[in-house]
Amino acid sequence: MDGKEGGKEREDTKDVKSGELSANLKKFPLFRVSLSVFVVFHLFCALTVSNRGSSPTNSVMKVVEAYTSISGFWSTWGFFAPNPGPQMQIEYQLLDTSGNLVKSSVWPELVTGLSRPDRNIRRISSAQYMVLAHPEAAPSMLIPFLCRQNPGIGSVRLTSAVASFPKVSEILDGTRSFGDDVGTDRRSMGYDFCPKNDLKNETKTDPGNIPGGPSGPSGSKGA
Amino acid sequence: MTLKFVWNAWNKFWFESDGSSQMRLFSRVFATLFFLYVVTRTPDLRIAYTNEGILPLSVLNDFPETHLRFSILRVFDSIGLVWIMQVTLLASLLCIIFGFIPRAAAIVAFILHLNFLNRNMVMVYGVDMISSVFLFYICLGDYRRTSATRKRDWKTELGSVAYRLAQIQVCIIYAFAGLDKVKGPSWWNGDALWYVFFNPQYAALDFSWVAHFPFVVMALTYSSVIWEVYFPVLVWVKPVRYPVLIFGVLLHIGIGLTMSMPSFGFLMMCPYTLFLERTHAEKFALFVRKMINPRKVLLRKADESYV
Repeated sequence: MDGKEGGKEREDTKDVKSGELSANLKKFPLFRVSLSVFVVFHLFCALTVSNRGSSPTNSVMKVVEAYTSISGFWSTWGFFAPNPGPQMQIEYQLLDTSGNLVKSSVWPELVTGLSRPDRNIRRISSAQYMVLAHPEAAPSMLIPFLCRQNPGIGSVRLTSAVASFPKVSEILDGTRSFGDDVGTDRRSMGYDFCPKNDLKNETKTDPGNIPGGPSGPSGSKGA
Repeated sequence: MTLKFVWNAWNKFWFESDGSSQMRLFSRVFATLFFLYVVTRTPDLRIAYTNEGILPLSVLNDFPETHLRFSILRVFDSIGLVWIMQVTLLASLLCIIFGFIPRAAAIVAFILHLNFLNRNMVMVYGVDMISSVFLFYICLGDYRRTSATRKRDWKTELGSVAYRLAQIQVCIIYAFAGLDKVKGPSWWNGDALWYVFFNPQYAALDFSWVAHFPFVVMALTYSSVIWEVYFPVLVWVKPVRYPVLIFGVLLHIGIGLTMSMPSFGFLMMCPYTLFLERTHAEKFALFVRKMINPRKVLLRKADESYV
């Protein structure tokens, strides 16, 4: 189709629009009614799922969740709401089979600067938030993963660290700085041995002998 | 009489809208951005979607809220299958970009994207959610060229509905983003953006210097909430539509730069094309095509009906 033809077609379409259009569309009343029902239901679900948790929506939530789960409309759109989240991270300690500290780091590794790719700032970081939201699942998710990433490791200890935000005045008088560790709240998330097939060295140590191990103190705050 | 008026207005709004140019432009820009985003996750396929990654199936099945979210990757744990799906997803997005069987390609892309999404809800953020929602509408769109000889049919009607639903979805996103913020004390106090600027997990650079400009932080905080809350209304008011969209573009560019979230920023701006006037959408599409392939555009003598 060349340009001239396209231009002519557009003009013609405009003429057709007002009169013939309605006549043509009357041929599809059932289709329109069906689409209208779908539109109303879809919008109802899109609005209800965004307002998840309110009491009027609870009664219909089963239907709404079934539809939104299947169609991928389950997000609530509360970006940075009701407040921007605190700086939370998962710290881990890798211990060898004798219980000696091999490596201490955070997961995922924090990359700063304008050049950091999207995957570091959001996609993997969002995983961290989800893990922190489900701390009971954290050991079964992260410990086998970290063991696979670090062959030869005997056990892993996980800690959540929630940083406190400085006030503007603290920055101005120099008592706090960007990304400092002041007032960080640390809590144990779990400690476990690597799964057997991830162990290169089969020598095992009683977890009780490892400080902070399963039989040691857990849930430590501000450690 | 009143019922007839309402029914006619309903029909006019949902089934007789002329948003095909806007939808074509939107689908192509969106598919291009989403294509780039999907490419960037390629190095993480094993970590994200197999049992060797951070979310083994044994753990995933313990999350009760996920039981209705089907994924073939929850049945078969295979990196080979993940790769096939990734390549097919990229190919289907290319088909949308080049206008080759766009509806079928969009359906394939939508299904594959949901399969990825449902396999690992842990590594999901705004871009993934926005993409699933808008891919759904792109599946319904009408991407045929305008033709006088062709009568309006069910595809035209469905395309019109898709266009309107996509527009309303943008409003829903901003309305809930804004109204949810209103619940938060930090957005009322005007220091919410301070917490964003000062969080190394969000901020791309050391923004300590903004402490010297507390009123700027406050103004930015209030203006972004007010804009989000009122967007769903103001974007339908013609005289202020473009200023509202321009504010949104600036806001998302700001977020993209300060927080290193280019994918999110551009994907959120992308549906703004749905609110452009038809002629502006066509001019914009022509401009993009000239940038990509100026010779081809000249040969076609700027066929404005083709986007």
